Parts: sequence; structure tokens; C-alpha cells
Amino acid sequence: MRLELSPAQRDFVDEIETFLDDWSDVDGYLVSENAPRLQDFYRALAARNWLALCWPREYGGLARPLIDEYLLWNLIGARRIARPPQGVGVVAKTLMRVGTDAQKAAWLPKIRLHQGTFALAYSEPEAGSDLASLRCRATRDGDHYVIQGNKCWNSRAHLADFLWLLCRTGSQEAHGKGLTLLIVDTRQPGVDIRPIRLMDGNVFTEIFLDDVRVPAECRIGGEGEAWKVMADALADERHVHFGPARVLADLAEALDWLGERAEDGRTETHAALFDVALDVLEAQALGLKVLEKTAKGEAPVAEVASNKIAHVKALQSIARTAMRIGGVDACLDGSPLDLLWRQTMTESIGGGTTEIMLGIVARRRLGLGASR
Amino acid sequence: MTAESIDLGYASEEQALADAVARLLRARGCGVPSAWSQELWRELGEFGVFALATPDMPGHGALAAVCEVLGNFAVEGPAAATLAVVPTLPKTERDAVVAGRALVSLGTPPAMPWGELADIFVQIDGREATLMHVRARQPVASLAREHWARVDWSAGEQLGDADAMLARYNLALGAYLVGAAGRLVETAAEHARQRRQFGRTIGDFQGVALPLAEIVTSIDAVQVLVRIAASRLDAQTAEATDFAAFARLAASRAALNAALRSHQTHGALGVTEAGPVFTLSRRIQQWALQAPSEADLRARLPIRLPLELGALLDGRAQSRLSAEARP
Repeated sequence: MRLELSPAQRDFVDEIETFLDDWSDVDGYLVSENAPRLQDFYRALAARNWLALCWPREYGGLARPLIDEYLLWNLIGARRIARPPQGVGVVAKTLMRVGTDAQKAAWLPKIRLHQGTFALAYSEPEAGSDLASLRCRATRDGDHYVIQGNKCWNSRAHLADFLWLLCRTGSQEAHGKGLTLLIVDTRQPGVDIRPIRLMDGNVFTEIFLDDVRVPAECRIGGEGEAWKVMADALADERHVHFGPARVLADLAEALDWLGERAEDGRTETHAALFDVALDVLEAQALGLKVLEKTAKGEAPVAEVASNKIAHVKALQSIARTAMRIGGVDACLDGSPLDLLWRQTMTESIGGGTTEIMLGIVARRRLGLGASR
Repeated sequence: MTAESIDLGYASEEQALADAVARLLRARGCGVPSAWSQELWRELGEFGVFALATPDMPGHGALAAVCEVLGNFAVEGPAAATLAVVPTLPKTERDAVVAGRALVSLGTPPAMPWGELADIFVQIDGREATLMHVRARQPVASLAREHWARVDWSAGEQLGDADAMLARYNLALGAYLVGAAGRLVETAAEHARQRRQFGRTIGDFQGVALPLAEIVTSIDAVQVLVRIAASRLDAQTAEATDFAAFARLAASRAALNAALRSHQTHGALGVTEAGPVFTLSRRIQQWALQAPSEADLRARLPIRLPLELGALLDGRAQSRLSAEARP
């Protein structure tokens, strides 16, 4: 059993903490609207080249090990400042992997410097977890693709410069093998993005694409190759999401609040909080397993799925137990438990539902659940 | 940054010892369903399993690694109690227990686990441990089938360092429960991979697969907690004994959930007396309740978390966790 950071890593953690001290007023993790200060934060990260912490040097990155990204975003999450922007992980690393030289030159600097933002446009009204059956169609017309269809549940697309669009160029029967990735400028004629306000204050969007013409050089990878490209890309940013420090931040907030408003009958309160404490410990332990694999340079596929399951369970346990103990006061006057209760519901849906994560664990750890 | 600085496994020598015990148990045909065997107990003693708790022990990591194996093979006997008590016993008693020739009963009288067969009785009451002089014993049935007895007794000498004894008990039991939980979920998964209904294996159905996935996620987590507990006890950190208690409680919760899910997955087979689940589930359930019980631990442990677990990861969130709740 070895559980320690190297001196260089400890120095990096100190550096991150000192940097974050100047941004403690930013509260963009739980509810992330387009606050100017949040964008300033991302630009400050970009100024340090920390949005490209692990990118290869040939693309302007710092070529640091993946664990440094883990540490950075875990500590940012602990302070609830921000989540990783959508472009720096999946989009950037896919471009590095399969993009043309012209595509890399066009978009990687923008992403690295936070001068061009992306939103993932995958889900559709009839294709959420089952993305391989999506219907949004891109038809080749000379030097362009013409896109027709709509997307739904797309996070913050109304604030993004570009869509990372998953669309169908092949037959419906080809399922995943008929899918292609395109980059779409959100200012293109025919792109209509409408916000859907969520229960936690965040905004998803519905995207309507009506004869949107996109240059063929905006296709990433070959036609029909998107599914494999996406599968490879899944490993690109798993390690920066659902860090354990955020769980501790939620617990701290809940205990701080309950310290003032605990109900009578403390034995029952204590028992209820004890199970929360065990959930939090389990979430931390599985965070360490992701860290272990990441530090070894291995893809933490099953570990990330397990981590998300436990992470969400702990968050929901904290919020729901604290609310139950807190009574009606927990629902009034903008109580922090009010937001935690609403926000933690979203956590078990976004980034892969708990059911999907359980399916991954069932298949990879137990060899079960082959059929859906 | 070297990859080796984050390693959640046992040290190679600890794992080698555990593997050797596993080979022994496999050769003796141990597994589920299990049964008490005096002969096996002595063999474990001769192998050196109970010596892991002696003052010159290799470390808590070795103790935990071996206990995981004992749990995985569902070995019957007072393993956790033995390992807890050994260092505190007078030499003559200690030698007999280490050799597997004498059996330990640890609990709160008058009803004592293994009381029908035990040679050495230790009362644990809160944070005090005392040798007992037993004058008479009356066998009593128990859910766990662990040869309990009600005893007529008087107090003997106090045994030193009850906190360390309790920490070893919690660690050994927690590790055993991790191994047992692993056995339960793997048995259930194997059943689900083989059993066919409606033209497919039952493991294909999400109603069967996903609950087991949830269980194995929890088991993976508590395995890490137990290993960290062992590491903390070796390092003698300030919160090591509390952390061992938390690890045991987490392991017990995971093991009980694994047992109940394994019962369910096995269907009718899962509720037979001689089936693969009851041999462990009855013990897991009873151990949660018998002294030193989970209720005792929960009553005196603070909600404040032993945050050293995530000291790498907590950042300054650690300092925000200042609230405590006690009954």
C-alpha cells in the first residue's frame, strides 16, 4: 500500500491551491451560466497553459502526466469553481488523434487559449443512452454536408462557438457504424439553439438544424468512423470528472448547515449521518482507484464507472439525508441544501447515467448483462 | 511522478503470504458451504496464521491480507477474535492459541460466541477487556451456528491495551468481510452466467446484473478502505483505530448487501440450508450485532471523517469539515 505524492506533485498541488485562492468567489461548478468571472477563470487557466496541461508539446501543451490533470480538476471541484470545459478533453484529443493538420491548426490553439468553445451535440429526443440509433442526418453535397435534424439535452450549447456534432451519414440499419463527427459553427444559418432550464438552475438545450451547410473539411475522421473515434475518446477525460474532493465539499456544507439546525432526537440524526459518512468514504476510495490507474498510465474504464456510481450515491446521500434531517427549513430561504438536493439529481443522469455505469461494471467486472 | 507512489495493493510479501494460505485452503477443499473443522484450525495455527498477531508480527497488512483470504474461503472459527486477543494473553495461553490448539471466545457475557468449545474467554465491554474464569457453560443455538454458550463466570485479570485489541478485531473482521463479500458476489455472478431461463442466461437481464454491479462497486471500495486501515495502523497515525472501525462498518454493510443480493440471485438454491449463501450470510448478520458490535462503534465514533484517506485529494476542503455530531 503506497499512497503519496511525489515532492513535485506536492508542489503542484500547492501551486494550484495558491492559484485558486484568487478565484474563490467563482461559483461555477454546480450552476454554470455564462458569468464573465467564470470565463475569466478559464482564460486564467489558459494563460498558464493549464487547459493543455497534458497535451503533447507539438500541439502547444505542457506534456504533463494525466495525474496532474486529475489533481487540478479535483481541487477546482473541491472549491466548486468550475468544471472542465468541453473542448479541452474529448474534442481536442480527438483532433490530435484523427484530425487533419489543417483541422489541428484551425481549432487546437482556440481551445487551448479558450478563444473558441465547444458543446457536445450527441443526444437526441429519441436517442439518449442509445446514441448509436440517432437520426440527425448529414448528406454530402459537393464540398459540403447538409445537416437536417435535431438534438436535445445538450449542455450549454447556447453559449458555445462550435458544436461537436454526432450525425448519421450512413443507413439507420448501420447503427453505430453509420455515424460521423462534424464541427458546426453555431452562427451558421439554420442553427437554432433553444435553452431548456433544468431543475438545478443549469441549462440544457435543444438544437434544431435546418439545412445547415458545413464544409466537408469540418468532418473529423472518416465517414462512418465516429463510433470508434468516440470509443477511443471516452478515455480522454474520464479522470477529470467526478473527483472525490467535491463530495467532501458537499458534506462540509451539509454538516455546517446541520450544525445550526439539527433536529431533536440526535441518536437518529447520528445514525443517519453515519451511513452518509460510509458513502463518502466509499466514494473517496473509488476515487483513489481511478487515481491509481491514471498514475500508471492505464485507462481506468471500469474504475471510472464504479467511481461515478459511488460519487453520485454519496452526493445524493448527503443532500437527501441532510434535507430529511433539516426538515422544512432545508427548503426555505435559499438553503444550500435546496440546491444540493436539486443538483445531485442531475449528477446521476449527465455524463453517463447510473444505469449505464452499472452496465459497464456488470460487463467488465462480472461478465454479466451482455444484452441490453 | 512515479506510478509506484499510488499503489492500493498489498505489499508483495503480504500478498505472497495470503496466496500461500489460499493454496492451503484450496487443497483442503474449503469454500462454500463451509463447516467448522478443528483439524483445519490447528493446521492454520501450525501454518502461522494466528502468529500474525504476535508482538513480532510482520504488520497489519499481512494480517488483513490473510483475513481477506479466510473470508473468501468462508473459513469457520473465531479468526478475528483470535487475532485481536493473541498479543494480550499470558504466554502459555498465547502459545496454545497461536498453535491452534486452544480456541478463543470474545464477547460480552453471559452468551459467548464459540463458548461451547472455547478454552479462553475474554470479555470486552466498551474499551475494557478482561479474562474470564468460566465455571459452567450451557450451549445455546445461534443464527451464526458458532457453538455459542451461556456461561457462569467470574472476572479475571484485565488485558492490556484494549484499544489496540479492538482495532485488530475491526481490521481482521473487516478484511474477512471483504473476502466473504467477494466470494458471495462471485458465486452469484457465476450462477447468473450459467443459469438459463427464457432462452438466455439470467445474468443477461438487467434486473439481475445491475444490482450485482452495484454490490461489486461497493466491495471494491471497502477493500481499499480496509487496506488503508491496515496501513494506518502500521504507521500508528492518530486516527488509525477510528479508521479501522470505519473500515469494518463499511465492510460489514457491503458484505450484508452482498449476502442479501446473493440470496436473491440464486433463487431457491439461495435459501437452502446447505447452499452457497446461508453459510456466510448468517455469520455476517450476527457479527454485526455481537460484541464488539456495530452499534457500540457507531455510538462512540464521531461523524468527523478520518480524512487522511483522501489527504492527497482533499485540498482545503479538509479544513472545512469541522462539524461533529454525537448522540
